[in-house]
Amino acid sequence: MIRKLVISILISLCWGVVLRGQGSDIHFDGEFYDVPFLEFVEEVEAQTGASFYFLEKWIKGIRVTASGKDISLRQTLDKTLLPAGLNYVLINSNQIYLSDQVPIIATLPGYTEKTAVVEESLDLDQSGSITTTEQKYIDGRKAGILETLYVGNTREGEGKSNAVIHGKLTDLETNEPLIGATIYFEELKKGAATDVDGRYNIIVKPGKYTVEFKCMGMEEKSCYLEVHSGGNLSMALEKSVISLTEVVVHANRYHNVRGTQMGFDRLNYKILKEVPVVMGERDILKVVQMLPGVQSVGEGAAGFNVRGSAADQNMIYINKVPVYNSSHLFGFFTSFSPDIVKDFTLYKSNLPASFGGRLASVFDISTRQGNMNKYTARGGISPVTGHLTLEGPVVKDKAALILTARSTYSDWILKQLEDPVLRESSASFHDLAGAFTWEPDDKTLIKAFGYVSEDQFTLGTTNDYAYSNMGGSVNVRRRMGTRMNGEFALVYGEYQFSTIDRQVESEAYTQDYRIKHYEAKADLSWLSLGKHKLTYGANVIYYDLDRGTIEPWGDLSLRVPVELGVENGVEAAAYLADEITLFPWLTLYGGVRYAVYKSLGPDEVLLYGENLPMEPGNVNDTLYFGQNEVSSTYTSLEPRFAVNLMMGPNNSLKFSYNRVRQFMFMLSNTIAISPTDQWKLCDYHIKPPFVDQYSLGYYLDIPRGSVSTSLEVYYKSISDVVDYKDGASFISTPHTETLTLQGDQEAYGVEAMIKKGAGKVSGWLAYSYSRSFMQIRSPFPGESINEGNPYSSNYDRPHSLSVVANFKLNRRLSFSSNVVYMTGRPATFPVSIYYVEGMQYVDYSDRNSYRIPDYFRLDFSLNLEGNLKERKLFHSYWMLNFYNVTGRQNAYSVYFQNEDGAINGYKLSIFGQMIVTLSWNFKLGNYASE
Amino acid sequence: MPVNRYHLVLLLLLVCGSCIEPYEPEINESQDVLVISGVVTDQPGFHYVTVSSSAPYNLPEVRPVSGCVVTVEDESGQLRVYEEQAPGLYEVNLESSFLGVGKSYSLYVVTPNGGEYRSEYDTILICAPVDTIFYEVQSQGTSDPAVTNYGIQFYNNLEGADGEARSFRWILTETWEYNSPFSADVIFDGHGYGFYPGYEMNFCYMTQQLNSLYTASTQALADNRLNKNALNYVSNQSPRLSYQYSLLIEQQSLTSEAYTYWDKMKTNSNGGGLYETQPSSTIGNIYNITRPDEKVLGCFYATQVKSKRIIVENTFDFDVTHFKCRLDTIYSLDDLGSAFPYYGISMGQPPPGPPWMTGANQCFDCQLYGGSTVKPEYW
Repeated sequence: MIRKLVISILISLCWGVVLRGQGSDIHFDGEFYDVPFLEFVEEVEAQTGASFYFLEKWIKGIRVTASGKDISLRQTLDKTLLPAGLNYVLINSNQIYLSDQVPIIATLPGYTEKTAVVEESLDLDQSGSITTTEQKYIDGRKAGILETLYVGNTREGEGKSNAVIHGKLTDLETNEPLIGATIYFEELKKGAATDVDGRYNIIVKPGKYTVEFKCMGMEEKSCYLEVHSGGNLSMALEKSVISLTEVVVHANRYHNVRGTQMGFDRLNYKILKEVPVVMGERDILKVVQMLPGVQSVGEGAAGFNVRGSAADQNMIYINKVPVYNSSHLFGFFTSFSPDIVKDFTLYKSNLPASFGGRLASVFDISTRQGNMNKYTARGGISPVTGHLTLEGPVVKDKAALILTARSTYSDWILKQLEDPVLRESSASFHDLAGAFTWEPDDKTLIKAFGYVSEDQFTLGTTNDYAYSNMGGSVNVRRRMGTRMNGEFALVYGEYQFSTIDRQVESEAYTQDYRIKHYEAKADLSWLSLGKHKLTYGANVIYYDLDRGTIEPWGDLSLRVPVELGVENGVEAAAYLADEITLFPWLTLYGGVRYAVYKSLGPDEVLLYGENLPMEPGNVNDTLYFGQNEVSSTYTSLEPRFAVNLMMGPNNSLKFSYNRVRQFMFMLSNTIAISPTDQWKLCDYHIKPPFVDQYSLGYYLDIPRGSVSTSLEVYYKSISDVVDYKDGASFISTPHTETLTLQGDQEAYGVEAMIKKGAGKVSGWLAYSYSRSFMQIRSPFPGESINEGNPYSSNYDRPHSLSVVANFKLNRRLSFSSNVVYMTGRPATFPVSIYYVEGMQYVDYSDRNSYRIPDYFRLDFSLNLEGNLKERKLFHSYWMLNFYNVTGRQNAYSVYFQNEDGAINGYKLSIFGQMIVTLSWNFKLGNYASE
Repeated sequence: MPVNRYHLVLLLLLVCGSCIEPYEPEINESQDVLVISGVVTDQPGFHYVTVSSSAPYNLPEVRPVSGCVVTVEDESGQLRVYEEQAPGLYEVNLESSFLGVGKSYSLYVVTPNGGEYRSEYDTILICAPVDTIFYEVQSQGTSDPAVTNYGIQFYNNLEGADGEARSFRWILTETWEYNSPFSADVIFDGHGYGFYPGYEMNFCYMTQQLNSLYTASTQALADNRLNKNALNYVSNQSPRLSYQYSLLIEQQSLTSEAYTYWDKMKTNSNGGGLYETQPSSTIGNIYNITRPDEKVLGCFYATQVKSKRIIVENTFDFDVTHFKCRLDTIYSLDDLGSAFPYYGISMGQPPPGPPWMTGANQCFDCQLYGGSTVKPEYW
């Protein structure tokens, strides 16, 4: 069949009679799944004898999805061509003419009344995909005049009760997707929020609505919407010029009350500017610790504890790359630059079925994608680090690149210290990250990300530490038809450290440790025309872990080398979940995740005598496993369930339950994570721990004043949590089971939060009462802790209050304040003194039966923005931070020392006085530019 | 894994004058726990066992347990009975036939209230000889970068054979000579003064056992050999190195159980940091026979002892701090206080007339620092 260009004028001149309407449709059968239009045409022509006329350049990139018997060609073409800005007319029942511009007027004016075709043409004008130009045009208009948008067309909508609307919400200026932006249908009291790529899906009944687009930091936008059938509705929002609304700290009100998600916090990078920080370093992990249910064991300690769990029960992802050590300099700073962070989400309660593998939380960070419109840069200096970020389009509006680097010059601080050993020490760290985003068409989004962080620390002449994280991911996201979205990722992550310990020459040693994480992941979602939103997917992780060898260091070391062993494991999981909106007031989320973990050889497994403790003396057999031979298998069937009961337009009650199993843990018997702590896979002897968590919450929004509140109660119980025998040394043996104990943990609490998202004053107040208890029982003497009775875990801090407040005095000057109060961390104290050979010794209490003093801190910060001129080369702002204004000497730890035969107690505080720092940041462009 | 204690200090990144301050915890419980401690060496003579009970943390005191029946038993069932010398201190004179390398001993204690306690058997293992003791001059930086202190760090080497003990404990006893800076020639007794030209009470010898635990083990090492095992450090900020310093090293062999105990006693003396493991009670090898759940502190161990002494003279390039004294000049006896006697130096012509130089008594009588004027035989 020859394709001819038939211009529309010709058409309107030549055909006297136009057949249209239902009668003139063509029907075909088949399964088309995202096939190129040309292929589709050939198939339909072959089946029906119809002929298509068009120019090939018009149909470039157009793909067709349709399936079934007796499919209406009209409907298929409407769905396919109209959004692409193409028109068509069907003549003589078998000729289809396409047009790229003018609506084809197939009837003579005045010949009949206003026909459906004309209506359809009008529809075409205003509906379908909104091009960037149109968006800009629309957005350029003054707010207040509500305009009408159209989606779909009447014919396709006929007889249908549902329409799938999808689209993308972007920043008008940078074209970057808006995360957590919402579209809300006022009449339906229903809405959807955009995902990390700015996309959303929603099903509504055809009809006329008032819709609202909202996103923090962006101008709200309302318009009338006529939905005829499914289609694309994309919108670009303008940055809000009034900076007051810029301070919204929570993603959106929609999530708070309407979603099924609980124990969930999403913050965006703007908050980093608004929370006072120590040493002028903006730090997302420090911000997270201001949220209810999140604590740390001490100022400057690495890691954080979610709802009474150990720090190794948190998964930190940055663009899907796992971060196995999230700290620089032992925990003072976070191992990725805040400049590249766009948005971060903390799931501490009901994990969506797509996540697994960590008991306590998933902390999901997404980075900025880079400016798609223009090249720009930002950076800054603080007393500790300097950082710079460059970004810009590779192909305008299609592809962008962002690169960021940060490095420290903190050595000068060490040189100022009083301690002579520290003066001889050196410390350095740096991190680099880059992200590339490419949007080849409006259905596909490809993202690549790479990340490196490195730390080096030399302590006097005795210890060297070096550790690094490295990782990368490639992520492809594709809309496959109107109702289906798919996301596919390949991920690599690596963490390694090396250390030299030469405190004692004859025992000096060196160790190199590394863990590699290879992952492939697919997540799909399918929005049914009914009440379902189905998500399903799978992932596979291959762990390649080398704990290294303890090798003698130096000529004088007599240490015997100890090979700690190589470990390999595969973790595979598949999940299926459905979110069902049974009634507008009742939403259920039900899912199941099935995970399998296999530890792979080569492996040497020691078997111990029946009813004997796992100690080297009780070995009675050894099992050898060859390369890739499975030495142990663990499975986990994890139900995920949530229900949302809307009690009114602005309040809801939610309940959730989930189970998660974790197949690795960190060998750490210190209270804080140290840089030589090793990740370890579960194995033949050490069973993977699992958690069951139940939450119940009440959520109330007060739209006036942008106030949202939540009250959550949770209970979780963890089985097989790993603890350590007294005096366990992880460098002494590859057989970790001889050092570990497994027990149970129980945690419960109430978390209350009030947030104010907009206005001159914004921020939040969070209070939680939470408890966390461990129980280690063993039939063998000396292996039980506290005689097998439950005891406070290291993370049991019942009362916790945090207030984050931000006052915008004007557009240039803002003032922020933090207040933090926490019950002191549990500790083991000496309860009695006894004498042996004339020297004092202490006898300790049961584990964790005392507490170090309570923690309290007040911080202020002042942000001064540069001038507000519109045309300027760069904009800068100063941040003046006052950390610990009251100078309270908060206890970091309490310890006891035997000095010349007598015991003395000491309290150590880290920031025992007010710390004032000034930092300076800049960006190209003006106040409002990104 | 415990990280070096300096990490705690490292965290004080910012100059922070008083980040470490004394802390008195509020302890609201007191465990009255029995503490039994003793040792059997291969050296015939008096051996001691102490029985006491622990005291509350904020009321530290020795609480001896008197009236116990204490016996030591070897594997063949031979018994020796201790006698109470002082409250809670039990003594036995063991003859060489009862003692022997390779033999194991167990302690049996019955308290006045009927509690029966026994230790596990502990064996006397062969102890390698004290090989070399040596020292190195070491500098120590101070909080003032311009000021460096010096001192000497003692080390020992050890070379044992296979089959001998691989764990050791060292008991260090130091002796040092010092002086009071001034020689008095007058002594005021409250009624007047006596004139004692040539009075010499300003050279003394101080002997004390060091209040620190020194343990090491070659269990993780390829050979039964220790190189440069660090012992004590003597700083020039004390007068110890003024003239001559002597260190007596008693090297004890330990079984691995006894080593575990003493090493934990050592680490538990310093505990509670964030990068350290959770402290817990150090439980030794003594248990209640009828109530095994009862917590008993202390340890009974058996050891072979080898000893050696090193003497170091002050030939150092660095200065050593001496006891410092400031004298006042008085012209009348009325200027003295009432805590007689006082020492003084007569400045008048002719002696012993006024004026006199006088000051704290330690300036003249070194015994007041705790030492003895009797010169040790090895000096």
